[in-house]
Amino acid sequence: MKKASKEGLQYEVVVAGGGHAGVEAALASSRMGRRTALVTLSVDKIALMPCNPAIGGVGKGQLTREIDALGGEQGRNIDKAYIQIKMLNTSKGPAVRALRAQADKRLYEDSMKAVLSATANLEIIEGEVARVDVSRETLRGLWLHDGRYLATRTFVLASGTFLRGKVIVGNCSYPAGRVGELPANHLSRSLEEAGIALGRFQSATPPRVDGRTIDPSKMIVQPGEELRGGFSHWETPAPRTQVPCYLTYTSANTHQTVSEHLHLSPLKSGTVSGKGPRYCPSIDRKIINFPEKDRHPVFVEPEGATTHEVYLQGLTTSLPVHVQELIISATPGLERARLIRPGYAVEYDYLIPEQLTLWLESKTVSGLFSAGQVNGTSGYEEAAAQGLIAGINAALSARGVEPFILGRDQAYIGVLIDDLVTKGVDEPYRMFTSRAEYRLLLRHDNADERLAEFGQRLGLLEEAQLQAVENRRHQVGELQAFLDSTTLRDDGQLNAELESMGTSPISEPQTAGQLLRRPQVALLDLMRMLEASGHSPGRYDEKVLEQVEIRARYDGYIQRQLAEIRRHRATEHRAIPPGFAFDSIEGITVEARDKLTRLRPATLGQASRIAGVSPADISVLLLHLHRAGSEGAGTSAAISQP
Amino acid sequence: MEDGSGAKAHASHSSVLVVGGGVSGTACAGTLASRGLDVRLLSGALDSLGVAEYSPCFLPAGAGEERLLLGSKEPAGLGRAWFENMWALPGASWGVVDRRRVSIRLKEWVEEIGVELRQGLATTIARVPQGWLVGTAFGESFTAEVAVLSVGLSLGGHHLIGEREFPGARIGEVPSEGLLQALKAHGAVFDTGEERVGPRLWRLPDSIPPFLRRVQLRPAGTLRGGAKPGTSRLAFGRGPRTAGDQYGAEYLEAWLAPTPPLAGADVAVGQTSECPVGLFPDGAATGEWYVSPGLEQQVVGAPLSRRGYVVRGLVFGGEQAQDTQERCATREVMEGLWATGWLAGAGHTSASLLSGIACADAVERVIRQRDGRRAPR
Repeated sequence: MKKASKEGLQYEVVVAGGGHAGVEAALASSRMGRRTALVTLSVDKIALMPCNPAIGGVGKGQLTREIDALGGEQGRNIDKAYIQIKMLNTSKGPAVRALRAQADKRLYEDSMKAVLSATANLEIIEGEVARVDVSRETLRGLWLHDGRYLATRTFVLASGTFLRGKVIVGNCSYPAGRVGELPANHLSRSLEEAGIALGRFQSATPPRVDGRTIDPSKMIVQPGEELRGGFSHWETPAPRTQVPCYLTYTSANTHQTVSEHLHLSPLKSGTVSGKGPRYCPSIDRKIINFPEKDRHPVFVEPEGATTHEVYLQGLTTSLPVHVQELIISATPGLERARLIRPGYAVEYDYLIPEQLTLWLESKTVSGLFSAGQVNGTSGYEEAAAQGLIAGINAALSARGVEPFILGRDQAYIGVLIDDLVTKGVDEPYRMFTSRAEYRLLLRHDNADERLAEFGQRLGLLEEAQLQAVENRRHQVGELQAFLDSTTLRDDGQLNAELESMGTSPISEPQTAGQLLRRPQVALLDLMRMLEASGHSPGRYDEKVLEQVEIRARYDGYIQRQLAEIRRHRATEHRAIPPGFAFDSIEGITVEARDKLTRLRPATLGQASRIAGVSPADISVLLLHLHRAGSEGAGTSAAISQP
Repeated sequence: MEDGSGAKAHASHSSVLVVGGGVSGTACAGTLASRGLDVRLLSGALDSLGVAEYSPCFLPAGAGEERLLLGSKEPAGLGRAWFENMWALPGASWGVVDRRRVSIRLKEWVEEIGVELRQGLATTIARVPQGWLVGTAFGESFTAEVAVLSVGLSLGGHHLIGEREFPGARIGEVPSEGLLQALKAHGAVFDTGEERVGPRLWRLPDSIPPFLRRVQLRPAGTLRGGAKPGTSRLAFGRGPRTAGDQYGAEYLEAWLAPTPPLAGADVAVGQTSECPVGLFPDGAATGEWYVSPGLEQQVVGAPLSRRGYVVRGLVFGGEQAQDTQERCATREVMEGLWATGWLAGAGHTSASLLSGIACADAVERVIRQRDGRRAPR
């Protein structure tokens, strides 16, 4: 190759970064038929799990389910690679139930890479994206570090922690995106020159020790569960032997050790210029922020079936290594634990997410999308969700199709993206169920019902997959109708059964549907009672039964949330025309005008969530929209009934 | 913390410290541990343990050394990790390894056999009364009686793609500057080492150059029997597949450039001790293909996942070579400091592997002699 020339390779979509966001973006775009290239610093490090060896958990599990329901890959991949799985919060309501699985890290990577290898329209290029070629606020192409030029109009940035990355332990640091791996040091400047603002964040990971040197007798064993399904809606995971995790707690000794060495922490000594996550905080931070707590949980998690390394969740730290060893040995059960990998912090550039639209495209450079940790999030699930949406929208944008947006009332993915681009982030963002005001509707058990249709329309799911979801929806309706129209009377036996279940007897006939509302009445028992009274409820699959039961049980709450959504829908999705002159609105506060002008929300709903914009400001805005004669019913093709 | 800190002060010392977890480093560390020695392996990339960095081709190291590969000296686990993930052309004397699988098996073996693994980037080295001290980028210190350097071409390493030069022995690798300076300060003398690496294709091109002939590579398995003395051909035999093998493949395809037939050989493709030229699968689970450096120009138009490059680094050279064990490229660079693998002049993967084993032999002798001389405890 002589001089670098503009006649490079032609791709419809280029993705930079082979982490959890990058692979989802690349797969979505290729599966939608776009010629796609995934550029990565190392083809040997695709879909790595550099931190927690797990997928799922409260809030995160819901994201993975939704990714799968749309036709993304993370759910299927963890199903191939898990060494432990369990359902969290089974005793609590369905809104907070979530799956969590421990992964064999190597297998997770290999499985994902195999999927990439087998995907048409996708090429992988080892290289570093060094410069974006932007003219008149539109992307034209990308320059790689080695001089190659990739001509493309659509780019998904998914660089994770690699932009000007630096790894830190105590007062030692060196440039790296992860330990031992060179960072991407060129792109940040090019992005800034193109008008994109970057911030600086910090994330950390705990030490790994040799699992043979821990003392499980001092810990509480945490086994997996035999579940019939995994994360994926479309395939049943292969049976396997599960491995346990272990739970221990820090002791007063641990806390004392940390306190004695706090002055060596990069946080206190001021080395770290970024902010760290509040939600998986380092042990040093926990001790500083919660001095009244006398113990913190430490979960010992295996990292794979072929290694003895275990991950110490809860002991995230970037204190000097000798201090890490002291902290570990001061923790019950870890007295003799041998350190294999020290914990460390990584500091990196992130793209300030308020610069992105609800479909993750830059408001400054058309054709530039961004997804994952580079947007200020933490977690593989948060990254993958953004990667999927960015990849879908990059593919749509490449052919001039309207963007695909999920609302807060449709998916956790919607909540995630809206939170990021509307409210921004002060520290790396992590998903919780409490962030979703409609969490009763956005459940683990109904992700496919909410989203499979979009997946199929976009080309990420087969017709047959959608059909299976439709069939189930139909069956749910059928069974519900049956229960609501079948009356049960007391014949002596019924009331006796009800009492034995711990619920009150009936004095007048009730429909089966009404009885099902009682938490003590399980649907399976009810079906049996119906059969005993001569009715034929029919045979249904357990997923159908689960749905019917949940709906009956929480009907009141569900209806209220649906009503609320309907009430808000008019305002929530009321479109604000692009180019709307916010700065010419009178009657709103200076701060509101300022924020609106800067952030340019696409809908009234988004506008209402901007900090500094009050309900009164929204009313004024609505008035102006009326006057301007706009009649938007929604900016996206995706708004539909939940 | 009465006993704690005292014990920890000694916890970073071992009899042997191997710096660099590549082909030779893992072989050396694992072999020493299998013989009961106390050995720590410090690697900057624990997830790439034992990865053959450049080409997936595995060549015989020549006539005499082959015995080392045939179950006489190397530990069984080491042999299995390599040969159960190797695919070979029947009748020829070379194979192709699944680098990823080998790496996973090697890590498993190295953990099992009792090597103390440690993630760390070595940035300095110094002679101390106990032997040698190696410091890491995170401020850790490790001491050992004997230190083995198996850092490949990363000393002063850089790679060239086209006409441009980039830091690190390969893309993405953090170079070890400090280590090089420290060694020079101790009087080490270096030569330049160089290796040309072919590109990789993300998938097979639609049309393969017509002069390449398709062949079938079969699983090499564990070696049986052994090569006849004086021959230059490795006897690959069929062995048990590794547990959890997901390939299900009876064979892997490769495309070879023809070479003149050897006298007496009944297979006209492949060469005995030189690198075969062609397209080789870079593992059974990945779709990537390795292209021999000479063939780059002929496979234009196909999607390249990795460009070819030339890697240059420093290797120990000059008059300091005191003891090259047979022809297995290992040497004691200074008292108690050994070099093995690429750093010691090994030219390819199998030579590195043999070098690591030979280094373990030599280091074991040194340690046992010292133990013998010490007063009984």
